[in-house]
Amino acid sequence: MSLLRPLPGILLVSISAIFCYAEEEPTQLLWGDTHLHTSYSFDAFLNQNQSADPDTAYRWAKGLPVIHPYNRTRVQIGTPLDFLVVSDHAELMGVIRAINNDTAELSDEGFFNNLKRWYGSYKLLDAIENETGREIFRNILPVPPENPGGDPVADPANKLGIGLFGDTLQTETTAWSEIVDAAERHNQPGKFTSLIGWEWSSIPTGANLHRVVLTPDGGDKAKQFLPFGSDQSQYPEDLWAWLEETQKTTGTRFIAIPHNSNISKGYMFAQTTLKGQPITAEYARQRIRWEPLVEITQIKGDSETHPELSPDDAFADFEEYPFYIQQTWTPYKVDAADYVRSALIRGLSIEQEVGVNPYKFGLIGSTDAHTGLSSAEENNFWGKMAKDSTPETKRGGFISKGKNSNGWYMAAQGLAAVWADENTREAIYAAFKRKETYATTGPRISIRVFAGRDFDIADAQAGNFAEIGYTKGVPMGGDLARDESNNPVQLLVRAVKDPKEANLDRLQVVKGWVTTDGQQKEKVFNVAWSGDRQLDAAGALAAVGNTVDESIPSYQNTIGAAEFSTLWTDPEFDANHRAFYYVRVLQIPTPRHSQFDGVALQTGTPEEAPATIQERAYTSPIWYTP
Amino acid sequence: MNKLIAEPLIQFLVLGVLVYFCIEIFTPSRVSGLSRSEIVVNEDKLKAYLQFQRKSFNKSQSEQLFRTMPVDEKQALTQSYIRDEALFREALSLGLNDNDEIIRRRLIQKMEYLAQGFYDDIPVINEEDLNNYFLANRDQYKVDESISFTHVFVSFKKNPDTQKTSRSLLTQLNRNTVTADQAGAYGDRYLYNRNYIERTSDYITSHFGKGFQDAVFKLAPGKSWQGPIQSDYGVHLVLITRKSASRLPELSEVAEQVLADAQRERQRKAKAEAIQNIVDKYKVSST
Repeated sequence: MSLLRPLPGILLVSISAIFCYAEEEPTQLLWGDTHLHTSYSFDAFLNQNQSADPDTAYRWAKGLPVIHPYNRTRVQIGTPLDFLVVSDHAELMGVIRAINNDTAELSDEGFFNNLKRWYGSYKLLDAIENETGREIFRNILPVPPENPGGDPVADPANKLGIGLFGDTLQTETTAWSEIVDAAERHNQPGKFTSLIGWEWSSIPTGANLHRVVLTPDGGDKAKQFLPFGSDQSQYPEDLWAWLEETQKTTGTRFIAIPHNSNISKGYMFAQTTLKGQPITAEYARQRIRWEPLVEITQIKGDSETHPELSPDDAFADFEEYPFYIQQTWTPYKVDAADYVRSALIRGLSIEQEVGVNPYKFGLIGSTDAHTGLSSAEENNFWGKMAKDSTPETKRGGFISKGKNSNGWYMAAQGLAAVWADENTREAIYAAFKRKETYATTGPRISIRVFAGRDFDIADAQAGNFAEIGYTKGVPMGGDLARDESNNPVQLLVRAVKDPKEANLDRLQVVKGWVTTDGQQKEKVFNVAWSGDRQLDAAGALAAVGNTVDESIPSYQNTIGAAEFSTLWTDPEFDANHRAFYYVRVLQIPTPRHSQFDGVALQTGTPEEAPATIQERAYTSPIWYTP
Repeated sequence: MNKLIAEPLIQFLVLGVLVYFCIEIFTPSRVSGLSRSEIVVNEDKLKAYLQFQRKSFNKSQSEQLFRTMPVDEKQALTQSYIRDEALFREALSLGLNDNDEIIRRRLIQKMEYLAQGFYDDIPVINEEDLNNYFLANRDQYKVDESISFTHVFVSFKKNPDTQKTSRSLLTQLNRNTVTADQAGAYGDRYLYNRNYIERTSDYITSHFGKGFQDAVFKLAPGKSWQGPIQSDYGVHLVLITRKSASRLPELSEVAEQVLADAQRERQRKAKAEAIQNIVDKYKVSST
């Protein structure tokens, strides 16, 4: 973002003026959102986003002021994005919107079914007008399984609730074409990148298996197919087969990004396939081929880990979201298959057994906002759904009957960071493929990580840090093999605060490994921190402090550090253990979005969430294979 | 008789009657002039009422709910329906809807929504329209002032006397006519960038603080190093290669955005005109 290549014209001027700027670093940092819904998504429309279309989404991302789809105020992003994927649900794509605008091209289903559809549409529009669309939305959500733990797709309780409108193919084709056209219009190589995409929304019996699918290719290719939806199949294997087939017939490249594993009911990163069969090398190869990235953090909570899974990690209790997407409430149950850290460890074990790691993925964050507005800024957060955009409507109930989620349980996060050669579809896709990406919960914290064995302590302070890193090591997302002398893994890391935001508290390395006898282990190392705090005997570090004035709310940068730049050597390295390392950077405490609402309403801190949070960043792992 | 059937007026009348009955059948709880004092309660009306009461519009679900409802609950639902319907009709006959601001706003909102339907009919924008729009709104596309420079940083943390260090560095830089490319060999590492190319004042402020931004934008571009200028992290010596004042761009530079804005403006106008056409149907007087 901060390292735009000089344009040829400027270069000429510079040369003629004797002064010449060289390229500062080998790759540049780009910020984006790979997961954003607009009024073309049925659930967005039913929750009062009737006006923020893909065009609005791109305008917002580029920094232009736009109209909020629900509260109609003028809103603007604090720092513009460099790239965006508009990823509307494939299922009923654009259909509710078309019915509402009376532009739907619907099939003739015979007199009685047409009448039924007419009645359904009439009720639907009425509900949208009366702002009770949310209730209709709830009624098409899944219901809990009759046989928990089994194949959720085969469960008798599993049904798709979207059949009412008959054959909507024509309307969906029109919608897809409009979405693709908007992406093509807004793609400006070198300045702003739009990637064409959609969401495959498989959620059998409330087990969230959603994937965003995106392509670096253009509209000429995208218009040769229609997005694959969960109404075609709810099994991810079928999605991958479709991707393979479509790639063969149209030449379109794809990747799929799973998200909200935290509410997958133990299925997203399971030890078996969805059908309950053992994971084979073939399955693992297929999966990691199409799914090189995972969305670790978003508005519906953080999926890094959970206190029950990582009891020794003092920061594991971050933005938990214990609400399944279903009609009725059932208690939240933590499962190792629901979280990224345990999946990464599990992947090592599976690799040890079958030879391929299905969970060798890189990390990104994104919003999953349904407002057309990619907002991850605490003081400028415009809601999960359009209706959750004001203090009073955030307080209102959200999905399941009984114990309700609401707009205050939602988190104002996250973003995808990419180290790319330039800001183009090709370069960003290449970075996705090599996993040179990371996630933040909103702040633009810059992080470089290189793993190697020949780094020198002076390298950490070098001006040409990245050049050294790429020369002597591998960047995030990369691999290290065993070297002959069994030297320990070193990480050369540099993290710099968001220029506009809060200072940094600490930098940690999260290591996961599997011992030769198959035991799964994890450990969090404190590597760099602000102030003169000392590690205790157990390696723990005192809290950084808190400058937040909850009554305003605001914070001060009088604590914390502006940057960390250091070399870390694994003190517990065992050359025989398969391992991964990723870096986690924490900000000092700042006010959460709900606290701004509490102050505005003069009702104090909403009880749904704490007044302050420590925003963070997670890098893609680097793997060590003996 | 055949002649009569071929008569368009008769066809219209027959169709009209049919349409009327369809509306009567499919519109729930409509007040009909024929049944002003009679409240008809039947299963369909109760089911529809139940859906609104529960704010849940899944037909098969509400049907099942209705079927399995205990007798006393069904009785209560019926009583509640009758009560609501009676109150609603009485309110209408007393004309209570006439001066109700909430009902008025709701109807206005529905009309405004209808007016948006005219979007599709607006004419395509040609080049001349685009030019005119651009000239009329040129100020909106102003390009912010920007600056290009490279800097040598002297950190507060690493230097006990930053002023002294920076002054001797400045002499050295100018004596050796150090270029931007060679500048990396001097001073301390800065946490953000060394080169800033065509950056706006907001951007510079976020990386260096307001004081630095004010000072650096006051300096003129040149071949010699200038400073020191203080930031939040230390002091800086700068080599400014370029400075552009804020300016109005040519249409070709911003054509895409202007086109999108002009289209939006036209949609807004189309809606306003549609509403004006409705307003014009009315004679406005002050008595």
